[in-house]
Amino acid sequence: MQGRDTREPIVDVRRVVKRFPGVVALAGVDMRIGRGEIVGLVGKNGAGKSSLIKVIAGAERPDEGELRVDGRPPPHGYAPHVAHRLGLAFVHQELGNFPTLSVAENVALGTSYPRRLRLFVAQKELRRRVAAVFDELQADIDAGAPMSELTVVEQRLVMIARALYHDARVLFLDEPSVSLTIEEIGHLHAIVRQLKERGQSIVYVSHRLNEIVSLTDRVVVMQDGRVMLARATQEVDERALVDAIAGSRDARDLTSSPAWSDRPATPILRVRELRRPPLVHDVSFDLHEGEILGLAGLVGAGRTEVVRMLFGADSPSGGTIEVNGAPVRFRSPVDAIRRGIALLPEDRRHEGLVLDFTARENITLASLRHHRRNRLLPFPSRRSERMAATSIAKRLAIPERGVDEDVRRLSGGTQQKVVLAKWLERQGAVFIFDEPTQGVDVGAKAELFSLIQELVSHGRGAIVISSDFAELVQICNRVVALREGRVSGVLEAPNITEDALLRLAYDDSATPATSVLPSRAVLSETSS
Amino acid sequence: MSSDARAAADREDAAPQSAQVPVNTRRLEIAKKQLARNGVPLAIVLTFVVFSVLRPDSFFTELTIKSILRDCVPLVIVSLGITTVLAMNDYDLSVGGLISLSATIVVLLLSSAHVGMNYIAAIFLTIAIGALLGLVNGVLVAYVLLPSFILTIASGTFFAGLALEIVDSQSVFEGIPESFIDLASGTRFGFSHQVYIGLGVLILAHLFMRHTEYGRYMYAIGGNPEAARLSGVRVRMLRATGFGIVGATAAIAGILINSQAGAANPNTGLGLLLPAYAAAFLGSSMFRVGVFTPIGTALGALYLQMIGTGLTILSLTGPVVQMIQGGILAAAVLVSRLTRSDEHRP
Repeated sequence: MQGRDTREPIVDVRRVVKRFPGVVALAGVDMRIGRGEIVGLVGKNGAGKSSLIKVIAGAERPDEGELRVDGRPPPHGYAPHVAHRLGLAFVHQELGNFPTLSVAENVALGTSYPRRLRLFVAQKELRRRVAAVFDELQADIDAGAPMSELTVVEQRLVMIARALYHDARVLFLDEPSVSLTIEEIGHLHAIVRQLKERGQSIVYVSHRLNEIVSLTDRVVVMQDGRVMLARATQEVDERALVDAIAGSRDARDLTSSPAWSDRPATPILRVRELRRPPLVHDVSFDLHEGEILGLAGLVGAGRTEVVRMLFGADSPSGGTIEVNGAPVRFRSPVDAIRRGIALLPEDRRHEGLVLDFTARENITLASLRHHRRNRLLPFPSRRSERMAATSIAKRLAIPERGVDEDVRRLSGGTQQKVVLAKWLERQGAVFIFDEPTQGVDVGAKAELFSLIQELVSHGRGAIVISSDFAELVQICNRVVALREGRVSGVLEAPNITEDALLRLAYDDSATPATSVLPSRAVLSETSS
Repeated sequence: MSSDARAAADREDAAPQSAQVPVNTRRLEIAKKQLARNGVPLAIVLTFVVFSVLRPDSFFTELTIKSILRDCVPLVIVSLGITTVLAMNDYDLSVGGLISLSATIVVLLLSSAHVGMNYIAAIFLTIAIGALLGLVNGVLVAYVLLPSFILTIASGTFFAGLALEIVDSQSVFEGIPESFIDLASGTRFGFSHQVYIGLGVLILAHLFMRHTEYGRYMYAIGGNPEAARLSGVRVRMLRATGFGIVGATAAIAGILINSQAGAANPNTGLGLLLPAYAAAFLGSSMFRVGVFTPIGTALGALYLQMIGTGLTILSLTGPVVQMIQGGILAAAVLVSRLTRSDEHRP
């Protein structure tokens, strides 16, 4: 963008467009990565960062535009292993390492190990070579140690060392600082700077704006599949970055849902100082009858972990939960379900559905007892099941044929409705939706929202987690923002805005939430 | 979104699959599916016809058919037991040892030379012991989270050793009451009592697995244990129960085998372990492919018995029979794989 590089960029992305069914992931993106620079890449979830990296990695083919590496189009049949050969290395947040192998074996994996007699791995030589890489990184890691004995930061360094060992010229680090301590982050930054000195290029993806500002040379902000801002880092500050991330779109002038004023005295759910380190430290909030409560936060802020505890899927190490004023201890989801709590998990394929079951079998799975032919015998009546499933399917607009179809074959939106149907069948009091709109198309999304709204109108409450803050603005009466396992602020309708949520969710420590938004952020008594 | 990116970038082969499948390929798919779904019933009929044609005087006779029905019963019952754990994606390889052990126990309890118990009481006590031992396996798997495969190999070895130890590696003949021998050898309406027992267990298993809540939950656990747990299914309890059921069926099988033999041979069970799994897997390639059903399992066991008897009538020796049975199982697994392959395409 800047044209400041006199030399040719290593990676050059030009006007790249990538469409997925129902969504434009990349709408004409330009990005250049020059030699020896640190480029920060930021944006909300769904802004297109992942799609862009996938295109560069060869995991996705662009629909329009082109990708050039070293000034040339990549070879025909460009794929991740080709990208790897061209010197592009991708270090992911979830570490793809092999715990039973030694550090050295992990680092050198995929290259041919040094051999003895052409057959046996020359362990000493291998360790020596790997140790040399660690020396360059000034990382104090024993190359001979088993991978499983390393700390998280050490494992992350091993992955970086691995990229160097493989002669990578461009390293893509995806959220490398997540769950590291401040000292560890400092160490990581020192290493990244050192790599730059050696002429390596780094693309640094992070949600923490302060490290983007302090570490990178250039920053690229994406939003809705476009590059909103691409500038030398010294020309911008965190404030400008947040503005670019949030976007100043008057078009999307969403007002938060109003019409909810008189709050009943006893909340249906009261959470106090819930803890489960390292991801949840001290979370308190209330949920009232008829309320849709949003949980906002970035990936890793502890949202999913909080609701799993509310559902008895994980046990908290401290804090209390009260349902309708009575303290509860959930040892398993069975207990939570009995108390009327329903969880629609984020990963519905792995946690919400039995894919080989029909929709009917899935819908009645949590309420099979209600379909007994005889109240005393555990024989469910298929007719009763089918009637219930069909009527609920009609209510949720699940296609009628779908009821007896294996869930595996249904679309994402329909699958999500099947999970919802399962809990509607069960008549819960608190419905927890973890990323309900993921993989759901626009029409189904609107439908889902009106279902959630209808749901709470009958004396129930709902908790909604979404990474798309605009959605929370649209449907929530109140939003609790989490940051690194703590409540960073609570907003109430009609004062919920996407902008305010973004500020609360991002590590914007220079400007605490209260001082940025004195008039908007209503810090509730519970967040103390 | 970002997790997708990771997954996709990790994937080595990201070559896009074309959505358009040529008509010929699709036809082949349908043919494959049909073959897989109806392969086993078809094979049963075909095998029956082949044996009948080859040996019309000795195979296609009332006596042989009745004896096939009688002899398959212990296998059917054990296979039905392991069907419950297989439905939950667990393995119980201790059945061999359990059969031997319960066969030995029941005879010791009955024999006037040993305990000399009433025969009904002895039978129920043995079944209870079997169920209890199975439950021990189950608790270790479901609550202590030991891997079922290796744990049940260990406990099966232990049970087999224990069976040998308590009778000093000898068979027990003396003092077995007629009424016990009559259990398997006696007939009613022209069929062995065993056939009715087998049919009874089959009906119970079918009702349990296909028509009760618990059966549904077990299949849900097999399909997705986490989703089942989050739906309020008592996953651990049911997994443990499955092993208890295996223990009870192994005990019944052991009792029948010894009733038929009129003696306790502490090695009876070991030969049933692999055929029981073979029967269950043969059965799982019927109906809804990949789903272990009691009726499918029973048909699988019946088929294995028919082949065993048929090949013996053709004067083939035991080892050859084993080779053929092994080949058939491999073929059945292969056939059911054909239809599953399409699920792994993006």
